[in-house]
Amino acid sequence: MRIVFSYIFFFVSTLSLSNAANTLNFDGHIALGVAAIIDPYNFNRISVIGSTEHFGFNGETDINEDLKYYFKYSFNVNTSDGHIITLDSPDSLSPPQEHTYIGAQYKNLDVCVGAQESIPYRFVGNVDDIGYHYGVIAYPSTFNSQRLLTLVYSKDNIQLGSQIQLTGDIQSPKNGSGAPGLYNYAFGSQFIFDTLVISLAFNGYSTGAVSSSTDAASAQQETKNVDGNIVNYWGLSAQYDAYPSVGLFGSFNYLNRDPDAPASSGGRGKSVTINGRTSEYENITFSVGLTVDRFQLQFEKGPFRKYSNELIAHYYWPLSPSLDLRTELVIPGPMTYADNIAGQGSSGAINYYAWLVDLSYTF
Amino acid sequence: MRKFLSSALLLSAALVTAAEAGTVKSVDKRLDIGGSARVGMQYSLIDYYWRADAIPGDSTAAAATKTVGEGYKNGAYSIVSNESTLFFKGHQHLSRDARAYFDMTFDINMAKGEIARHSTFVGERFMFVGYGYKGFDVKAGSLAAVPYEYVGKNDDKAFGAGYHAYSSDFKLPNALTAKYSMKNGIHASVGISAWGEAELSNGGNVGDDAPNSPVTKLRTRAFGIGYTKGCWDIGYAHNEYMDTNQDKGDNLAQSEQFQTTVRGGKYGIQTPNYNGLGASYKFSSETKYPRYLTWLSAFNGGKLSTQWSNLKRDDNEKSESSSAFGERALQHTKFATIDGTLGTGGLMSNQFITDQAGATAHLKRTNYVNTSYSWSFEKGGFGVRYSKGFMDNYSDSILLNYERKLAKNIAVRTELFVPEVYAYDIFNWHGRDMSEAPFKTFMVDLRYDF
Repeated sequence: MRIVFSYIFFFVSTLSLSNAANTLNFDGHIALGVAAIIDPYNFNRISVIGSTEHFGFNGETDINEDLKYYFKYSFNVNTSDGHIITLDSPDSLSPPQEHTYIGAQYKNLDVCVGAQESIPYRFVGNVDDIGYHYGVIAYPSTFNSQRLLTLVYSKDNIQLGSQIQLTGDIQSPKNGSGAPGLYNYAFGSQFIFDTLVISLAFNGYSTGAVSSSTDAASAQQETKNVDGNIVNYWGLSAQYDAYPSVGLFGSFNYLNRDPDAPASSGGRGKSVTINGRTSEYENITFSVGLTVDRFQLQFEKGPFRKYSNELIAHYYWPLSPSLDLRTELVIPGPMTYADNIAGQGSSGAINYYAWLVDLSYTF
Repeated sequence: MRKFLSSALLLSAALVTAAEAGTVKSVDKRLDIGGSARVGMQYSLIDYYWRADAIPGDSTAAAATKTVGEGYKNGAYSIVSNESTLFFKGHQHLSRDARAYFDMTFDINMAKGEIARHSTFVGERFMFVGYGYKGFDVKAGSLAAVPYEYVGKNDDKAFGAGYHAYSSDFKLPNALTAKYSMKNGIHASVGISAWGEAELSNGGNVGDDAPNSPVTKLRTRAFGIGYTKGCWDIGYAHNEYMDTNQDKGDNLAQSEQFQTTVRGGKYGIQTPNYNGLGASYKFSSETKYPRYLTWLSAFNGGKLSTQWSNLKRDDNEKSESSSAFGERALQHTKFATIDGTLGTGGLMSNQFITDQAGATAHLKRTNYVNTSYSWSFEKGGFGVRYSKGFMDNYSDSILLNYERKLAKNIAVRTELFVPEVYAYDIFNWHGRDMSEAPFKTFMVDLRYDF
């Protein structure tokens, strides 16, 4: 058994314990800073915020060269408020606040069960998620999912993934699903061609599946068609490293909304009005971005025909191997819906500009 | 696998040490960080429970409408988590005979990705500080109730902290226990839970236990006495609630005792007293059996457990509620019978899906009984338990489970649970935090200890 303490920062330090077959690690991330919110519709304000902060434990046990088991506990924390984030109102369909899972990896096959990132997010959505806080605009599908079983096969330059979400509840076996327990299913694939990475994903819900009561779930999960079913999702992402420090990336996302999808039944309707502006939903959203060294710029086309686009730019200065000084500018349209942008916590009409400066410490 | 740290770690969980590599050991102080991650898949099945059987007293015409066609069958798959934990435990030797220790154990629901939170009257986590001197130990915090340690543990054989026939408390917050153990194997404990509030309740929030006025009394008091030596572990426990007309809150996870009301006597409406007896015996190859019992050697390496629980219910007390489901939820009186209308409010309706709303389901009638018991046997990773529930009919259950080690700290587990129709006072079943309806379940999960 070996214990390694690295250096100390605030109340934490990197902690890794291992022996020949087992490892246990303590890790986390603290990002705390100040955001200036420029809200043309209400009032300007300044807020101290934290972004995607967490701490947790993870471990691996190697059985042999081909087989290993692993687990992870990761808990989101809000340093600015000083608490561990938990679900305020338990909902078997809402996204989890923490990652907690167990997995087994046998050669090229990985099986994982618990609360974890969804397959469409892993393959497509994360390309859209460049904000310092989980900041997906164009990507409309699920991010974190509870009660998820994932299967991923990797070989050479190809990766294939699938998932099922089983929410059949002992209290209510059909809860959240038209089928006995199967709430959600998804597939993903990724192909690597030298400096080009292309990924595809599909995400569907069982017939009769109900939406989560939590707005932060995903645009897809909140959107129903005329037949009352949650819409299907298709996504494509690409990343291209043009030069060693210059890259391009983008995602294209499709929700098969009915043209006349009603606003009732918990779904997002054909159109919506925010702050006196009205626009119609569209099926296609996309994002394109540019990376130059430590600078990133991204344009996102939101879910509406007008007023829902966003421009995001950020930059970081490494102050030490684990400490960065970061700054981020977000310029959304007046009807932009964003998920957890810059510490705001949930989806909703994020129609204010934000400028953030924070310190990011990873341990 | 528990990781072993020592004096570099302060009790406040601050990690203060110099950069170094290598095993850190200390004779007099130590901190364990660890836990058990458990998550898997479960299939649950309701089949016959809500059949509209005719009941005594129905007219011929009424009975004819209730005999067929309203049985309910459904199965469901779910990802579930069973008693996953993360803990920090430490102890320090203060002298040759004295020691101090603490335990902070967090329940994790890995399926849902959350740390279990506080709920009514139930400590979701074990968190306590203790002090010991020779054979004497005192602990304060949120900890296992005395009757659970002496009796209830013998019923708690399910992978999901799923005891059934044991009817008293399990996790108890605001508790203080003292235990004295002698070298001859005899030990005795006393415990209290104290919920005295310094101010009025915050709107009757859960856990306050002071919906209308400050509480100054002890909430519960218990004692237990046992003998643990060699192959034997025998215990007796008594537990009683001190206040009359306890606010039960909306959480049924505390215990069958806590959910039961009796009336009469000088205390008016109150919670009945509990008495329990538990025992376990480990079959050992070192045991010399008489000739006529040599066949018992086939059980060597196994463990036989039993517990008998008694609640002093009133024999002649009927529920004051006209709602059958309501009376079961609030009273648990001797003659409470269970029938009613699904989906129209009350406890039971909350547990079933809305597509049954309005369907009249007259269930089988039965009566509560005072005594419940269980027997179990474990050997080689295999376990079987029979539990006699809280009613004279339809409340028993059979549990089968098996655990197979994949590595020193990893195991795959499977469990089959077959309850009868009224066996719904099953606490903390498969990651649940309250008593639930008696679904048949089959579960497979992976356990990773660290």
